[in-house]
Amino acid sequence: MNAYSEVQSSGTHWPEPRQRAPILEGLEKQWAEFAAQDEAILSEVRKNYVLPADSSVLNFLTEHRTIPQILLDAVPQLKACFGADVVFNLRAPIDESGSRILYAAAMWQGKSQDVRDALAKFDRDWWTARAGQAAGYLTFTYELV
Amino acid sequence: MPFDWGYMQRPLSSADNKTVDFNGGAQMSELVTIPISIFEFAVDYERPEFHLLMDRAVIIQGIFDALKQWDPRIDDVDAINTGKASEQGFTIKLPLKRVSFFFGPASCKFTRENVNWQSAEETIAILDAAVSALIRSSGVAMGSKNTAISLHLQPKSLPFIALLTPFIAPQLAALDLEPVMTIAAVAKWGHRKVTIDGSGVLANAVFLRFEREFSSAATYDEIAGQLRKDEEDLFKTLGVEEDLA
Repeated sequence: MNAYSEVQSSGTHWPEPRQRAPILEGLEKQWAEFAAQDEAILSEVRKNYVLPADSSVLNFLTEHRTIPQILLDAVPQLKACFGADVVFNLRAPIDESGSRILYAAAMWQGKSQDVRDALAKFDRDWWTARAGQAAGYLTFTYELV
Repeated sequence: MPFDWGYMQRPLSSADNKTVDFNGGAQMSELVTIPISIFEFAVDYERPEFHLLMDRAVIIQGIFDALKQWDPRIDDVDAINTGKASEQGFTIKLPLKRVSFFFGPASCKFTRENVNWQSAEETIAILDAAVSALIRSSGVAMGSKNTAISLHLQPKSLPFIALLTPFIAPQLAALDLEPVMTIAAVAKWGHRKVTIDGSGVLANAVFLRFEREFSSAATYDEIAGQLRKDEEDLFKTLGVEEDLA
């Protein structure tokens, strides 16, 4: 969250991959628009969640296109339940069966009972009704720090 | 449907331990990752050269050839024919290197993203190739060299506001009972400027930008050495250390 309005990016617009066959131009244009939308959503995810330095989470979000929007939709509810200044980390470890699940974990510095209550409220008020959209690929949890 | 799996739980530790001590205190620096880093180098010519607006083909060819070893593509050359005269010119990009080089009738600007000190030598080589080719093919006289490094620092364990808290003026913080959510500090000197802010791009991150003006005679190695020292000093001031693991 910035306080000063100065631009914080380089301002360079990087070119999309070149288009080759005229017959595919319409399709490629549409594809480029989808890619731009996805990129915009990912940028918003990066504003609201801390991603690891490696590409595991980005790869996961690219492979599961519905998850980034769910993460963004969850932000106001997470802030309401956990507090506006709580940091959420994303992790995508490989489980024992070899598949990946995304964990959105609140980095909690307070009492464990408080975070359990916050998580229960989040589940009850918002997540339980929407968990099906994530098809089991997303879990909200916490980490005591 | 148990969402609280507790798989990542660690023993509760005191939040009081999560403070940063400044000015070389005993506590360790906060480790940070730097997901976004940008280097900028801009020069105003000693006087505008309008032939750079008119006779651009030779200059573009010269720069394009000078960048040959980094595989520039003709489609990555853009003519900018809109805006004020000072904003018009040409941009050559090297997408794989995240490099962009602009030149117009009054100035040129080099930008590279994803920079780090390990790749500084390559950055200097590309910068030198582009600027030298511009000078050779256009005859412009370079003025002072303006540099900037922008970094988004993501702390490993602290909330970003903990790194910004020492820069909050107490009389400002006292204006409201609620805690300050974020703060920016800007310091400017004759030939230098430092901006410390919350990141508007990344969650839980600090934005640090440090700018410095060098004389036209300064070498790239001198510039790199000074900027590296500036970064080290600022990291100490912020109480952070880059996590290179």
